[in-house]
Formats: sequence, structure tokens, C-alpha cells
Amino acid sequence: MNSTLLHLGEIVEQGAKRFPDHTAYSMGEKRLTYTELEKQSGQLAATLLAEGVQKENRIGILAERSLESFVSVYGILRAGGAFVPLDPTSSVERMAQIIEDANIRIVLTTPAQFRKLRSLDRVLPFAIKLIGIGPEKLSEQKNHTSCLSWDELMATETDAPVLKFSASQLAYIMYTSGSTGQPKGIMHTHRSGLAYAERSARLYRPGPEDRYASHAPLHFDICTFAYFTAPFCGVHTVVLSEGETKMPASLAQVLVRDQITFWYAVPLALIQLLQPGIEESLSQVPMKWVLYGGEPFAPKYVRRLMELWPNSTFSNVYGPAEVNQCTYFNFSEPPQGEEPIPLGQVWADADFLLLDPDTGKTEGVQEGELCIHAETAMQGYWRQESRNLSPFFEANSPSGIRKQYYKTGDLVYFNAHGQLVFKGRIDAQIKKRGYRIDLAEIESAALELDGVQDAACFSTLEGENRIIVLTYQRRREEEFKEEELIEQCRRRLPSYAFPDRLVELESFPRTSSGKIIRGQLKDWIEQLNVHKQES
Amino acid sequence: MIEELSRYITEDLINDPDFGTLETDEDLLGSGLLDSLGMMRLVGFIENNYGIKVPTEDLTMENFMSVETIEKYVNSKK
Repeated sequence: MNSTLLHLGEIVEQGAKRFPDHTAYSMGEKRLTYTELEKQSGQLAATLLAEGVQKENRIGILAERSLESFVSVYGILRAGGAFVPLDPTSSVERMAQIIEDANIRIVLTTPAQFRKLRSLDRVLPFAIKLIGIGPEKLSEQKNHTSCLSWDELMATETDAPVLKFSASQLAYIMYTSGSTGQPKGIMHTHRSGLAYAERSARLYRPGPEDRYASHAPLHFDICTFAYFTAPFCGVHTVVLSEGETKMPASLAQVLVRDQITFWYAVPLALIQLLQPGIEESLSQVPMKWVLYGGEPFAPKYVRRLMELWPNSTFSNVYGPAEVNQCTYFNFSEPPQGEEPIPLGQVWADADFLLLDPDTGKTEGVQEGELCIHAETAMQGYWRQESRNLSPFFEANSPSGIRKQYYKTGDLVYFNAHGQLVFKGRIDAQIKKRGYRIDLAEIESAALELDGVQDAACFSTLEGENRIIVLTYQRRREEEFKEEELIEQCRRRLPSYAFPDRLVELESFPRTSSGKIIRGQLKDWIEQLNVHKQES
Repeated sequence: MIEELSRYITEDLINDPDFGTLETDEDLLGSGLLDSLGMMRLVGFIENNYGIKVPTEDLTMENFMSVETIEKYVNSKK
């Protein structure tokens, strides 16, 4: 393991010395060695400095999953700037909102984004400089945005700049949807990014012999493993293409072809592979580690995957993007029964408290909101003062020192083995006729059934009455009747927590990273009903 | 079939008045024109309109990369 690095750019600088000809990132036939990654990101950094980029300037990355996006990350970091991944699947209005909010004037991109860039040009009130796309496809731009292609960039003969960095320097901003509709920028520093790389490296010990499949999109926090941890450890990262993440049969082919040993993604990414005609090939993948996060993984799927990958260890990774990771639960034995898999324990060097949502107390609490203090935590939200965002609260740590804690918004409790278990979002707790009900509990009951592919619950007011709606998607190949689900709810839930309505869906509203957006379920169903009436 | 597929993709799935024309060899997956949900709807459309069943093992990039490759795939299944 490396000695402590001073800034994130050193990951590739060290990598080029330690693993010069080893592949850092590959995609299909294309690959970048550690030497090439260091050289290309250095050329980009020099170009950015020549463009006038200064310390902590925000620079956007608008790219599909690609090798260029990783060169972009390190080019920006080594120029002293802060990278801001833009979600190519989001609307241009939201993209423009982020570009304005973060005051971005340069965007690194790829030719495949030409349609998005054209539309963006229509809504953006000022000119931005584009790097990574030639002017051919963007002739009608009103903002006269100047362009420089990747080929032109790589033809420059410049060395990487040598700059001074401080650990508290801004390294990247990841935007997340705020409850108010205004995107919130999570600010991470070189220190918090490196802390995550070092801490996760020590816990999972990936090495140059591993091939890590990077599935998460660039703007999703799971991707920080591919950005930082993998190259920090000399791992060969296989960047999955947009097509491979959408077509399950192609994804399985890549896992076999590239002999993937290391995986980290949302559960859905693997669940979609568990279909006859696809899952059989998975036993040819020498999987060692399966990390998952973002959502609970139903035990029935974990058991099936463990049959296919008998030498694998699974890790339930938990941590909001604000703190990177903060808990883990590693297990090599298939889970018995259908109880949710625990979050496990808070990882080393992090302090935590449970905050009782009713009393505000933190001492002797067995169930409450998880609050985290850690080196891996963000500096804060971008411009949080002017927006009245106060994600931290001060409290005495278990050792008696006053510290700042991030409130996760997640309710957890200790089980009989002293492990933390996720109970649900604080805002997913509802009160119905005086009873406190966790919607997550209803979902996990539904998911126990083989015929249910996925389930999501929400609550809404119908007139004066609060009702619970359980939506579910059936598995493609299973015979399944709704009566089974009703029977299951009777068996597993207290009567006051019965859903008032069941709605079968063909798909869920999801974020581009695959998480179900529960807040949009109601509108989703209403739109479907309108469509039905029209046709 | 090419015209029909192109129309369905641009009007029903992309649904952006500024979009312009879809090239028949344009990568539907790579640049994010279609998300996973859009792809599922497209598969449903193909199954309903051309009377074929798309088995899960055929859900590959090679088959669904562009309007052209889809046409080739559908014809091979008829």
C-alpha cells in the first residue's frame, strides 16, 4: 500500500512509477497504461493551465462512460481545478442550472455528446469552452463556443505542471437532487478523496492482479472507487460502455471476456443478469469481491449469485455521497432467510452517533438517525450558507471531543449481534392512525417472493386519509398472482401497515444510476393512467 | 421497417422537438439517446409489431446498436 499521498493527482504520478506498463483503464479493445494515463492527463492539465484555469476553478465533464472521462478527471485535478461530472442523461435545463451554479466555463466532453451540446447551447446564457470535440458537428452554435478535439489535445507536447496543493483544496463537486428541486453540490477535497481511496483500499485490498468492472455512471458516487481507489492500488479497471450497462447479455459477455474479479454497483446491475439464457455464463467469471450499495440487495438474489460465484465475498457498502463510504458488512456465506442484510459496522477512523429523532438525544440510543464524522466526509454543500443548508450538527464524540457530524437522514438500529441495520429513510417513516410505519419494511416483505422482481412503496393523502401504495414489478419468467402478494403482506406485516393499494408496474422511475425514485412514483402512475385512457 | 423504427424512436422514445433527424447508423446506446427503460419499450414495440419474440440472450449491443442493426436482427428472426 502507498504511503500517504498529498493530493489526488499523485495517484497517477505514483501509478506510472510503480506499474508503468500495466493497464489502468480499458474499454473493449482500447486501453490506457499507467504511463499513458499519466502522460495524457499531464497534457490536459498543461492545456487547462494555458487556458487560464486557476486553483479550485470548476470544470465540467460531460461524457458517456469512456476512457476520456478518466483522463479528464486527472487532467483537471493535476491542473489544480475541481471536476464536476455532468449527467449526460439529464435534461439540458438541469445541466445548465449546474453549470451556472458552479460557475463552470470549461467543459471536457466527447464527440458522442454533440446532440446534448447543441441543445445545451440553446439554453445556456453564456459561452463555454469545449475541450474534446472538434467544431464540425457544432457549426450552428450561437455562443461561438471554442472547441479543441482530443486529437489536437494529445498532439500538444507539454509536460505536466508542477503545482503546490493543500489537502483542503477543492477536488470535485458531485451534484445530487435537492428536495427543493435545486441541485445540491457536494464538495469533496483532495483530503476527503484520498481518505476514501486509502480507507477502501485497506478494507478490500484490490491489487494489480485484479480486474475491476466500473459500472456506475461518472456523476454517481460509486464511481469514486474507479476514479481513485482502483488506480491507487494498480488495478486494471474495465470501463463498461453505455451499451453494456443497458444490454444484459452484452454485460455478461464482458464479465466473462475480461475475467472480472472485482465489482461494485447498485444491486439492479447484477439482478438483471439473473435471467435464463444469461445467468448460466456467469459461472465462468472468477469473481472475488462483489461490493454493492445504493439500495438493499434482496437475499434471494444474493444466494443465487453466491451459487454462481462460490469463491466470492460480498460487501454491503453504505454511505451517502456526502461522506463517501462509512459502514461495511462483508460476508462469504449465503444469507439465511429473508431478513435484510445488515449495514454491519462503521469503518475505522470514523465516529458515529445515533440521534433519537424524537428527543434529540444521542446517548444510550439503540435506534436513531445515523450521524457520521469522518475524514472521508465532504467539506459541505456548495454555497450552503446562502441556501440555509446545514448538513452538519455539533455534538460530543464518544471520546468527549466536540465534533461536526453529518446527519445521514437514515434510521438505523443495532441487532442482537451488535450490527447496524438499516431501517429506512427518516422521511419514509409515516404515521397512519397513530402507528409509525416504515415503508421499507413493506418493500422488503414483498421482495421475499420469487415472483417479485422489485418493489417500492409510497404514501399519499387521498382526501383526508393517508394511504399506502405498494408498487411492484413481476419477474419476466415467473408465474405470479397478486393474491400471493396480498397473502405475503398478511403474513409478514402488522395489520396497520397493510398497503391500501397494489399497483403492478412494468418499470420504475429510476435515477440514471438505477435507484428507484420513490418521490416520483405517484406522478409516474398517474401518467401511465393518462396514457391508458388515451389509447 | 427502418422508417417505422426511426419514427417510433424519435417521436415516442426521445420526444424532443429540437432533436432533428436520427441517422440509421446512429449509436442509440453509446451517447445515451435511449436509457434502459427506453430500450425495454423498444423491445416491446418490436415484439408487438413484427410478431417475433426477443429472448433474453439476444439483448445484446450488436443487435440493438442502431436502427440498421435492429432491422437486420428482426429480419433474421422472421
